[in-house]
Amino acid sequence: MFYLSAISLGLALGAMCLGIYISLRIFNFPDITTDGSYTLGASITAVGIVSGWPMPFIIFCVLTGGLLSGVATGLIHTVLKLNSLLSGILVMTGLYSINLAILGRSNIPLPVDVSHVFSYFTLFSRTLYNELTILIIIMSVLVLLMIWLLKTDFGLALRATGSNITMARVFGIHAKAYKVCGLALANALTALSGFLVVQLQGFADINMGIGIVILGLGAVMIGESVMDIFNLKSIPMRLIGVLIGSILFRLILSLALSAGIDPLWIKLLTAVIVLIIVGLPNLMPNIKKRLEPD
Amino acid sequence: MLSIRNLSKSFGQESGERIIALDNVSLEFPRGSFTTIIGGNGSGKSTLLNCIGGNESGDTGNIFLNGRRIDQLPDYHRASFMSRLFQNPSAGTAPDMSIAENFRIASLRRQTRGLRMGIDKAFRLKVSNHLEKLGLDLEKNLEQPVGQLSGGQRQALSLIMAIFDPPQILLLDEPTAALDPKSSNLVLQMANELIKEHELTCLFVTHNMQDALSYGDRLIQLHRGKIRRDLSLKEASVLSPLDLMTWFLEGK
Repeated sequence: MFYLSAISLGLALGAMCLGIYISLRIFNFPDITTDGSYTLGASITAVGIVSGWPMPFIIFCVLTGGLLSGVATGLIHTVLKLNSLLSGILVMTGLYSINLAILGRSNIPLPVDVSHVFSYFTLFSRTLYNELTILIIIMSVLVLLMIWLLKTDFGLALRATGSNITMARVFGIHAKAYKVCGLALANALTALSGFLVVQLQGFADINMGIGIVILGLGAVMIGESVMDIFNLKSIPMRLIGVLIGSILFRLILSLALSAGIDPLWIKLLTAVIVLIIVGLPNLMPNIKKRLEPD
Repeated sequence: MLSIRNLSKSFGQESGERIIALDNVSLEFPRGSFTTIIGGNGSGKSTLLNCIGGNESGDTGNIFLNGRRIDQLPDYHRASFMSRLFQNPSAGTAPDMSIAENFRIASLRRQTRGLRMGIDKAFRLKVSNHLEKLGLDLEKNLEQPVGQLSGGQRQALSLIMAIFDPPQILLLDEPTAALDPKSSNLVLQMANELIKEHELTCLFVTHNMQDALSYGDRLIQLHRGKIRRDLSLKEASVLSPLDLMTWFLEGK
């Protein structure tokens, strides 16, 4: 049943991938903060659950933490005018210490008997089915919320800022503020993924965020390729595509693991897959050219 | 009334030499006036428009609109009373968004952007009515992404968007330089009608000497950051494009 847990993990990481969609596809901002804000969400969740905080309060803290990480990166980028990658790396690096301080040590396992998001409702006796159903519900609500948000006046202004900053400013949009808002939103979603994954896998680890941004970038691109096949380009379809991409990516990795690949190589595999997805279209014209006779 | 008072602006070059873009320029543009501005490269006309538009600020001098100082306002605050059309037809619209969504952005130039679904039936109808005037059949598919339109269509769309919620000032920064003659005429004639209809104060920068004479009720020539000529409609009406060409040569 490895593929069911892969689908669950793909859905749980889907929130982060939706965040990457906002930062990368709407604002063209490859946001490395993701690695840190994901672990931040996970750390807050682990500590909160172990300390017996009420769930709504944990969710509030997770979202606020993610939001503030995004605001930090956004302000560094817009006010101090550092480039997007550097802004993200700075915040990500800083967050490592913050996450370690929150966790208190490098790894916190959740006690088995503790109640969490996936044990609140018991729809199926099998944990795997139960988790999957709850995740499908959560992610459906999240996607619907995002479809709605991106169609509101606020969402239109976010998208205009990303699509054409000159036009946005000419029509009175405070572009920098909207950029910061977009990154805040993206990182809140990322932290939410950390929140879900901790409860899915039963522990938080200081290193769990390493390379997670690459996973998100890959998922967004896989999702786009899938939706392109069916020529589905509307925003709702793109968002659903992001979730499909996230699930497909997890399935590929799970397949590799079940085929006997040492987990040690999983990050390299992730990087290579993303490299292929990103690089292949650029390589293709050359290959085509070489095949054509002179 | 838009007033420019003693506006100066210079840029430092890498060689250490300073280029004077605007040299103590003072101008008054009454409400409803349509001023055409010509001048060679480096004459300061773009800098003048950028200072009014707010994406550059002068070193000294002030800009007033109806007695209120506006030169300290950031560009996005000036959107409440000013619209702008750029040389690049892609600059005025968001390519990834639909025609309806672009118009929604244009309609919110002086409103707060809340969590409201602003594109409803009434809004679509209003957009369709505006687009019908263009005669480009764009009103038939408001869901079409603007990035799929031609340069001429996009510039015409930018113009309609710019006056969708009419501003007081309209800045036209070589709006037809990248268009074919047919699109160019369409955009300028439409602009001309809209300026009259809404009594807009318009500044029109152009390199096309025929357009410079065909449109506007005042003609200004800038040269090396100074006003060299400032002609009324009557004075300009006796000129030919060739006369204007000679103005460019005499300064060299």
